[in-house]
Amino acid sequence: MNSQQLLDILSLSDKATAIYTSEDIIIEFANEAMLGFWGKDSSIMGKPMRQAVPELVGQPFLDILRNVWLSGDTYIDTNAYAELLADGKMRGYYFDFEYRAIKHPSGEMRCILHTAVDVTERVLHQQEIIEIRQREKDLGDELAATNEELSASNEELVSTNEELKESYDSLQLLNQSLSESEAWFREMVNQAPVAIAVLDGRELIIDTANAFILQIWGKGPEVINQPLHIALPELQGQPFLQILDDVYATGVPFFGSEVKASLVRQRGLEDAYFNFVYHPLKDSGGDTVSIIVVATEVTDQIYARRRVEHSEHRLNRMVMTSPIGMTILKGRELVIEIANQNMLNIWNRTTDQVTGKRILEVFPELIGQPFPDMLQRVFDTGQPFAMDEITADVGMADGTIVQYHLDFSYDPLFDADGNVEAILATVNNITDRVEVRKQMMHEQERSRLAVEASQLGTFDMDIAEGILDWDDRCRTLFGVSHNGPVTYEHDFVMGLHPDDRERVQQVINLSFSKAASNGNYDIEYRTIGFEDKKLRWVSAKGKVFFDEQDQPVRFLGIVLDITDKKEDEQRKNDFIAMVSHELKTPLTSLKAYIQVLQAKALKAEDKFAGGALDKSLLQVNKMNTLIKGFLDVARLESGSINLDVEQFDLNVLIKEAVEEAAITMDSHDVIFNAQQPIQINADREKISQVLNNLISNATKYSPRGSDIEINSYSHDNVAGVSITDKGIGIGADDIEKLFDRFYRVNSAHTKTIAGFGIGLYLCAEIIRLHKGRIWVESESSRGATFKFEIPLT
Amino acid sequence: MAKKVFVIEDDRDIRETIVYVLEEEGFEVLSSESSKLLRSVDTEKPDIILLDNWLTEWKSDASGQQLSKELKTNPATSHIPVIIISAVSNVKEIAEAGLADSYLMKPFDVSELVNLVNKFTA
Repeated sequence: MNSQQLLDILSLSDKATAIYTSEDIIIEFANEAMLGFWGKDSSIMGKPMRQAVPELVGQPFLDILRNVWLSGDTYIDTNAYAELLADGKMRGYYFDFEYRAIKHPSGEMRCILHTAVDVTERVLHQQEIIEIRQREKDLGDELAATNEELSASNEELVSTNEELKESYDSLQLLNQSLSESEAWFREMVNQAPVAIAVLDGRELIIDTANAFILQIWGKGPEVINQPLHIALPELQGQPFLQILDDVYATGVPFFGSEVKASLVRQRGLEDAYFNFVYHPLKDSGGDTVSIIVVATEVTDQIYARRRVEHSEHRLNRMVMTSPIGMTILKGRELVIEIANQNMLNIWNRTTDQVTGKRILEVFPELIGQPFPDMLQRVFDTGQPFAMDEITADVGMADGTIVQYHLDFSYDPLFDADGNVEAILATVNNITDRVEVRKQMMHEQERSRLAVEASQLGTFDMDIAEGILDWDDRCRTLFGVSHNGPVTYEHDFVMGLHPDDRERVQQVINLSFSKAASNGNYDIEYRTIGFEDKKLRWVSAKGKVFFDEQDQPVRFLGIVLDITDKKEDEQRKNDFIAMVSHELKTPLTSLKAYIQVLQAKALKAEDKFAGGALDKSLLQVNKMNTLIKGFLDVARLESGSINLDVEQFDLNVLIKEAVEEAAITMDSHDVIFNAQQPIQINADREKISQVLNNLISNATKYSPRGSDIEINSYSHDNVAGVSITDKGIGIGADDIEKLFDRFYRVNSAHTKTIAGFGIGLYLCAEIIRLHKGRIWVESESSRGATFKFEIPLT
Repeated sequence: MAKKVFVIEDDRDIRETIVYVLEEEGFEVLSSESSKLLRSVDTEKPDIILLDNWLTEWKSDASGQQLSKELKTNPATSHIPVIIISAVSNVKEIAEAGLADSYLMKPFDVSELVNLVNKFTA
């Protein structure tokens, strides 16, 4: 409540009340009752008491009032006699009254609150009683009855007096509480931790504005008592003045939440945000007299929240607008917090179907796939995890499983304590890309096949009817350009290179015998084009079909032009032959010379010459072995080594090799105990080469005078040979690479040993051509056992 | 009467050594660097022919093989043993394809040469 309200309330009171200020006792306010006592009207308000009620001059009251003002002490009196002007005549009255000193919190006088009750009637009654008692005394006991009556009346009066006293007390209390309330109100406003202002009247005069609201307004105390629109001109065009006016008019409070206001403050026109209340203060008649404004500035909070919202918004926006699938999985439960459209597309789900659910609940098929473990690992380690082109099976909404190819990464999101609280999963669906690539590879493969297919010719022969059917490609391979009928005898047989005719016909005859070949046909031959006379190499594969009597009825197959391959092979062979010739020719004459000279030295008994020639011959042989090795490698790699398979006794071959070794070197004892003959089908010369090589290696890598033991065996359809030395052995690292081309064990022992590292490679290749296997069992410095096995059939 | 040996080998050093060795062994040797010598087969009637497979005049490794095949398929000369000499490691196959009686791989042992010639002229 404000002072006006107080005054309003006071004016309504039937107790006579007036308020004075200053030493001159200016009448600030007097209610009707007081004016009635004085016999004056409201025009006296604002005037000094002395002037307004001049009949008091000469009476004690003005001095008492002045004294109250100056001393600050409240003055109370009862049954005080005052002469006042009533209806133009001076009359005597009796009053109970109080001059109450009302002070500012600072202790300064604010005003004097004057309350008065007319007790004239009571006083006159009392005087009358006194007179009657006097008369009583005078009249004696006769008046006893009257006296009783009077006594009763007196009691009544006393009780009235008590009532009056009570009434006065309550008024006094009211006055006190009013004054306290006023003071408390001001105090509260000034010290409130929120911004408060009181705007009076429709003009919105700033009656009170505490430091906080002045700070918000960016104004000083000079705005007090100014209308709001003058004090804060920037409010023009903003909604506040209108709202205040509405509150004033309707009496309904207005609550504003986070409302933006533009205010001119230290930094100029600023936008600020407020929570505020416009609360109407009403007089006792229910009319709004002023509006209290309570406001809290929330600009910082709004901005802080906006920043948080903005950053959240940004993350969400990033997730939502990312061109690749993104989702945030919260907690180890992996609850889907957000998922963008691309992610939803991959999942084949809607937002509602996934948001807030555990991912393994939505996609139970992921259990057993590697993803859940990977996600948990990100929680455990806090480390991001990514993989490219991984395959994932994802269940569609309709229950079908679709396989995706995905690039994905799991990035941990940390809480304030640095713990992983969620995972940002980024998933790029590269299925299309992978499919396209596969498609492309498929297309390439297909076109390659197509090219190859275009070179593939087909033939189909009805043996019973003697009808031969060739496609275009097949006709080209035989140099036939017409589309007319072709025959076996005329077109096929005559189209073959004369040198190949017999051989091809033998193979075909074999194919026509079910017992001999089961109808399989596989051969390479040359053709001479019937029309273009061109030589072509052809690879033919086919199958003969038989009737119930095992008679051939149909012969189907394909032919492929391998001329280029053959020519290539031929060029390689020519080159190898040329190199062989060029390298070996000088060795041949050298060797022949040495051997002729050896014979002569023997005859002449020239020991030095004989010894020198022996050593020369050894060197020539060594050189020859090296050249042979190189040429063998070249031939292997040109694919031109063919096995010349024959049946022979492996043990006989081993014996020969041992004997040959004994002739060429006497440094080691080579021990071989032949068991039962072991008949094998193999290339005798090449197996011999393998044996020689392994024996030679054993002598190279073991000490002079040590034994080299050879064993042979056969079991389970394989024949095997083992060659064991007592040499330096082979380390585990070397064993793996031992059979690689040009690989040499590198150690102090081996530096002095001659060789290029092709011997074991050749052995391995020869055994491989025989569909066998070769290996070594050894430990460093414990000797080595080389073994090879080849199939018996 | 000494057996007559034809030696056709285009490398002079090798040819001379072969001739020397065989003459030492008591053979009568006629040698040439080219196949022209074969034109005198009918008149000279050699007991054995040693034929280098790679003759520069032919520029092909099939040359000695080709000559051998002609000799062995000609009834007038098919009875004369032919030995093909070559540096290539598949000399055995070449000799067989040329229908030759045997082969000698370069570099050969002198004793091997002598043994072979003795064997086919015995």
